[in-house]
Parts: sequence; structure tokens; C-alpha cells
Amino acid sequence: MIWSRRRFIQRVGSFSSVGALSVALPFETWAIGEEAGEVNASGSTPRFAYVASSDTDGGHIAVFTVTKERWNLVQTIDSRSPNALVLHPHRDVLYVANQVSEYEGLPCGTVEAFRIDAKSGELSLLKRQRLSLSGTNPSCIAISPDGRSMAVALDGGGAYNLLSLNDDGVPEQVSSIIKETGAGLHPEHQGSARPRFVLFDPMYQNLLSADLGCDRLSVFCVSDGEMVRNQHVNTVSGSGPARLALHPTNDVLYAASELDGSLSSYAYERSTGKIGKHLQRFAYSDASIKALPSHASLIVHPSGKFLYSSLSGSDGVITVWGVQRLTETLSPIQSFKVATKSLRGLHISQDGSELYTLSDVDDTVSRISIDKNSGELGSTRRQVEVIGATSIALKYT
Amino acid sequence: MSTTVTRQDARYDTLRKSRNLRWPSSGDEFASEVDLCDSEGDVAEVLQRVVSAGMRPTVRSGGHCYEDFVVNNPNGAIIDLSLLKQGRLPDERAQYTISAGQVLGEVYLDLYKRHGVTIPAGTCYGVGAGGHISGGGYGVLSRLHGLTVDWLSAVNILTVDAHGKVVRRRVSKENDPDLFKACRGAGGGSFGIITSFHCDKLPPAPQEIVEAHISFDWKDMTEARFIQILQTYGHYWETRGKDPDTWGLFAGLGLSHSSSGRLGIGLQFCNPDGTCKDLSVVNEFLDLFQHCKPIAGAANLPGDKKVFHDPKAPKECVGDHEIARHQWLEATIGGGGGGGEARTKYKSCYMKRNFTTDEAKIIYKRLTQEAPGVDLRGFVLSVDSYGGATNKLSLADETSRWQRSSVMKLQYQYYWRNAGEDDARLKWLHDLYADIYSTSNVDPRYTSTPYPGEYYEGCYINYPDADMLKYPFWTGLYYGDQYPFLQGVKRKYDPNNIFHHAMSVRA
Repeated sequence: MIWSRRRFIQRVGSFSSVGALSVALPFETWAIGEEAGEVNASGSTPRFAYVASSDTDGGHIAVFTVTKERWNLVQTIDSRSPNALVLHPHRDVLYVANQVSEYEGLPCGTVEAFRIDAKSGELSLLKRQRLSLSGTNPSCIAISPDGRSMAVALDGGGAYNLLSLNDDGVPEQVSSIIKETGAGLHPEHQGSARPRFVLFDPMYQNLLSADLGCDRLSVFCVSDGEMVRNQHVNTVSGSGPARLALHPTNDVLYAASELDGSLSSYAYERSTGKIGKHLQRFAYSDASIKALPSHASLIVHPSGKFLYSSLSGSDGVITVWGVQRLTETLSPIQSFKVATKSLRGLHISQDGSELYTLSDVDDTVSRISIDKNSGELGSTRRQVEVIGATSIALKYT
Repeated sequence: MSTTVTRQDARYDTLRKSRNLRWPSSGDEFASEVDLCDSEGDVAEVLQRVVSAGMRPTVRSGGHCYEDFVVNNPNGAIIDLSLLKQGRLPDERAQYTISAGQVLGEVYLDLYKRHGVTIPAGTCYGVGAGGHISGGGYGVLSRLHGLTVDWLSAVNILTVDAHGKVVRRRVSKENDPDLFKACRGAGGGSFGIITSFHCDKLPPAPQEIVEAHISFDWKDMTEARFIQILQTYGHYWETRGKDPDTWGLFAGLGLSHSSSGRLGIGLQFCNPDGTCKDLSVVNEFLDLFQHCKPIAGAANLPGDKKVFHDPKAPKECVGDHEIARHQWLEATIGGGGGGGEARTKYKSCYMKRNFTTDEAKIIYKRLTQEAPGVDLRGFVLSVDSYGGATNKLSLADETSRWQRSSVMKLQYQYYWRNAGEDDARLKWLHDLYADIYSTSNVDPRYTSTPYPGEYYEGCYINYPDADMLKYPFWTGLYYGDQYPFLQGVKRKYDPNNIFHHAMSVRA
């Protein structure tokens, strides 16, 4: 499909409900290897929603004000092939990873920082910052818990960049670069290192990462603008890890892989910042995934009781997992079929009552209710249509 | 045994720099370390450590890179090959070996004294062989003997495989021929670290050469006379200069700003047999300029190569012209060259045809106009003769130095000291260059550049100009139609893009 700015259409309001569809779980399961507390509901409805949209014109960010039922488009602002959005933890700044391979003729990607108007939610560009030479096609941004550092995974450049954020949250020059090497079983996808995801351990300044190209999870220690590799963990050969999520208690790490459609869990030793024992692994046995992998998404419910995954090859199924803290195991609760075959992202509302899904195939952001007790997904509402949607960020305060 | 110089080392501030004082552009761009290696084993060990640590390696042999490709390496490692001299030792598999760490002066001396042969390489004798030869390597003997890469039979190179392991390779027409071809002219910093070059055969060094100079005073210059000088010069290389008996003649026309005093022509000549018994070619060439009323003697231009103007050299006459005769080694080594440190900017162009009147008029206008606040005395446009043996078309396929149809090679050079003058000088040079390549000679799609076509053949990768990156077609200027081939080599031998800079081959 060719997208263009002209096709950027907002459709607000209720669309037909897809509803829940329970199907048999399509997994083979291998066992390899307490409750997190109540949800701190500081608000169920975000104030603003930001949706990145990438098209042949380059792309833009759509800004919505949010009421209980409606999203109202208040602004679209240009952005260079926006690929991932993330908010500063305590400043009114939105960051964008631009999936580009050139900037001013140089072989590098960029990140953008937008100031958020606290009243209207509207964005204004603060800075476009180039990444390291050969650091192309950034795929993910993470902001450190203290709001002082930005880490970027560079899918095209096989590298990680660390940038300092100034007092206003504006990114400065790249201060640290880690260039990765490696390859995997599938030359078409794994000819070289492809860092796809970064995630800060919220309690420590450790950066966790997933590298699809060389089947590797890594932990980096971040301090004083420097990033030092602390650990490499090899995943199953040919798996292609691409998404990570930490349990709210920070002692279990979940990894979704795109080339084999698998989900793994690992013990995470938060005091040492090391990935420990491989606890559990679920994988599709469908070889076709390797030929045509789709996006994987992963998110833990704020209560820590449930995990939601949309795995590569799952054909539009969101799996709800129960998290058994005593045994540190996952068990499937529900398979929930959504209307689209490929989900680009999952996002849970702050109070854990709603799951937002993002699809770049049928160009929708949908909202699905979550039963807080069982974790099961219920009624679905197509919230808004955004052509070429790639990422979403919800701002609550 | 390698030596790692870090920020705490007293040598760091000296070794982290480029000879072009514009680089590194800021403290944020400094490399973390400089690794001095004195054997191929050292280089392999250091490279493995650097790659495993996730650092970016850049490579330096002589330190003359015109752009920031080596020393702008934030938190990375500069692997310095300047102590790597083992290439002087005989290699049992090749007749002649040149280490990437040798400077050209050492190479000339070594090859001459051991074997009586030479390479047709450059006149800046402090330039490192690694960068110079990997980009083609041309100089005053190139019209007679071709480019240095034309003579290579094998190259030792370290690459990094997909899993991050350093691989030592000796590439040739038989082993990894695609990588061997890429190493013959595509420039440094794209595929791996070349540690030595090998040749089964090299041309004999000339026995002697003659040199001569004429110059023209700007005070007496008119536009018509200026055009006449340029077109007389260009016409010779486009016509008579193609005859093999002239291939021993190399000349440089130095076009300076009018505020500098003179512009001039310097030449070096030997007959194809390496002697100077028959100087009729020199006489014929110099005669062409008589109607332009030259002055005997050199113009003393910025960045001038001493080989062309040793004022103390004894003079003799050929016809009406004063020449100086030298033994070849003395002329080649004695001049030194390579320059000191300065802030510099360079641009280049291969010319397939003589200067058009429009081009000459633009150059004249620019060189006679003052630019408020800009000192133009540090500028020179060197118009070097080209062609002859460099234009053997079969070598365009055999090597990756694809420009094989040009008769002149232009190097725009600008030298200054004060960082505060950077912007004005860079803009002046940028505008001059854009002006010259915006005539009707240039396809409008490629305006402001010497894009390959009827008149031009792009730019020289050893004179890189990052200004060209703003054009989406910049790869066509430097790599020509070989770029897709080079991209394939890149993907095959450097899948993780370990070796990269702003103008390296991109996969």
C-alpha cells in the first residue's frame, strides 16, 4: 500500500466491536527452568495521545486530546519516518526515533525531541539530533529513570547510542557508542547485528537490549554518559529477539522473538544487573515465520499479574498470560483474536483497565477492555484510524 | 608489540590530531585511544580487541586524510600503522612489498636502493602508502607508468567477519578477487585494514629527469591571456599529450588568486627509457606558451611541491627554455613534500576535455575578484596533467579506479591557519567550485558538480570532499558505475559495517 498525507484520515468514535474470540493456543510449550501488588491507578484516561505515522511523504505525529470515549485530533506535525515514540518520565517532552539512514548526506539516523504544550498537548520541535556515523534506522528509544540519558537501538547500524539529556530534556551529542557484531542462522534477516529494542531497568541504570540479528540479549551499565557492556546472553539460535519487558518487581525479564515467534522468560538479577536463568520458552512451530516475520509486541500489566503478547506469526492473536510469581512461570489464559493480522504495538493504560493496540496494516488504534481480576480482554473499540501508524505514546499528567 | 595511547598519555594530544588542523572538529569527536602497531599480527590483535569492545576502528598510515574520516572517531580507536615497516622485508610470494605504514619517501628510497624500481605514486613524500595506494596512487610518473594500483599483484588485508572475528587475508586475482579489485582504487576505510601491498613487477626508476618552470605575472594578466594559457595547456593534454612519446612529461598548472603574485606551470620529464637524452617534447611543450609571454622560474604557490622548483638547481637550456637536470632519486626524495600542518580544504575534478571558454572565464573572474574579509592567497587550483598510461581502458575493469578517460586532474587546495576564518574560506571555495561546474558542460541534473559525462569524470576518492554528500548522486562522482559492485564487496567482507566513514562504501 502506498500511503500519502492525503490518506491521513482521522475517524473518531465507535466502530464495530470485534469482540473476544477464544481459540486454541497454537503453541508448543517447553518448561526450561507472588503477586506484585495493587495497581496504583492515578488515572484511567490519558490526557493526550500521540501516534506516529510513517508514509511516503516522510511521516508525522498525530496529537489527540483524549476524553473517556473520544480522541480529538488537535495537531499533525511533520516528523522524519517516525518509528518509535517515548515520553520523558517527568518533563513535557516527546522523543521520536526516525527510521532513516541518512541525515544531511551522512550515513546516520536521527532522533527528534518535541516540547509538549502542557495545556493543549501540541508539539513543537525542540531539536533533531543526529546519531553516530553509520548508526542508521533507529528502532527504539529508552529514557533512563532519572531522565538524564537516552539510549537508542540502531537496527541498521548494528549499534547502540547513548545521549545525555539536558535539564530541559533536550538530547545532546551522542556520548557513547557500542558497535555490535554478530550474525544468525537466517542470512536474510540475520546477516549482521540488528539491535531492535532497549529498556532501562527502572531501579538501576542498567540498559537491557535485544538484538534480532545475532540472537542476543545484552545488559549495559550506564553511568556518567558512558555505556559499558556488562553481559551478553545468547538466545535460541535463529530466534531473533526483538521485544523486551520487565516484570514490575524487576526480577523477571520477558523476551519476544520475531523469527521463531517465541516468548521466553529469564530471571533478572536486579542487584547485579545480570540476566540469569532461562526460565521458560514458548514458540510457534511454524517455519513460515522465518520467511516473513511480523512484529512482536509485549507488555506486562501494571499489577504484574498478567502479560500480553502479540507474537510474530500469531496472525492477529493477543495472548494473555497469567504470571505465577511463586513458580516464576507463565501460563496462557486467553487467546484474543483481533481484526488485524499484524500488531505493531501494545500499550496498557496507567490503571490497567484498557489495552491499546496499534496496527500498521489496517491503520487503526484500538482500545480493548481488560478485566482487572482475570486479565482477560473484552470489548473492543476502534478508537481512531491513522494511516501507517507505527507507535503510540499516552500522556497522563 | 602494539602501544595504546590513551587520554592520560602525554603523546595523546599530538597523536589524536590530523595534519589537517580542522580535525577533530571538537573534543566530542576525539578518539579514546590511538593504537600504534608495528606488525600485521599487532594490527590483527588490536583490531580484534577494538571490535570485541564495540568500538569503532579507524585506520591511519600517514595521517593526510583530507576529511575527518579518521580522527573524528568519538570514543573509538585510531589504529595507527605508521610504525608498520615490516613490508621492507622481502616477501617470498612477491617480488616487491610495500608496507601500509611506510611513507612514500621511504617506499621510493627502499625500492630504488634494493631493486632499482619505483611506483608511479605521489610527490608528497610524507603521505602514507596505505591510504595513498588504496585510492589509486598517482604522481609524476603516472602518465608514463599508470597508477600504483595498476601494478599490484596482491594485498594483505584484515577484514572482520559476520561474527566479529578478524580474518587475515592475502587477496589477489586468484584469492578473493572481488576484494582485491576493491582494494585497487576504491579508497581506504571501507572494507578492512590493508597492511601491505605486493607487486610481482614494477617499472624501473628513471635514471634522470629534467624540470622546468614558467610563470605569468598577475599584474599583466588579462582575461584573454588567461583563457589562452588555460586552453593552450588543456589543448596539449587533449591532443598531443595522448601520444606515447609524451607520456614521460608531467606538468602542473598552478592557478592562484591574483593577490598571490604569479600563476605558473612546472614540469618534470624523462623519455620512456628513463633518460633525458631527447628533450624535444619539453621544448615543444614550452614553446606553446611563448605567445603568452611567460617569465622563467616558478610561481611559488601555496602547497607547491618542491620537486618542481628547486631554485638552487643548476640550469641548462633546451631551445629557448631553461631547465634543470637531476638524477631521479635526488629529484624524488630531495624535495621532501607532504606539507606541514594547516587548516585545509580540498576538492577535485577529472577533466576529459580542454577548458571551455566559459569555464576559463569563471575561473578568471573568481581569481581576480576580492572577497571581503577573506584572504585568498592560500588558494591554488592545481591542474595536473593526466592520461597516458593511466588511460588503459582495460584497467577500469581490472581495478576499481574507474576514471580512465581523463586528460587533466584538478585539485582545489586552500590553506590557512586561523579557525575563525573557516566559514568564510570554506564558503568561498564552495561557491567557486559550484560556479565552475554550473556551465552548459554539466547536465542540469548534476549542476555544481563535475558529474561523469562528456567533459568530466567525477572526483578523486583520495581528495574527498564531504560537501558533495549533499548531492544524492555523490557516489557517482567518486565511485562511478562501480558502486553496486563495491556495495556487494562491502556486504560480503564487512557485513557489520565495521569500517566506515562519511564517504565510505555503504551497503
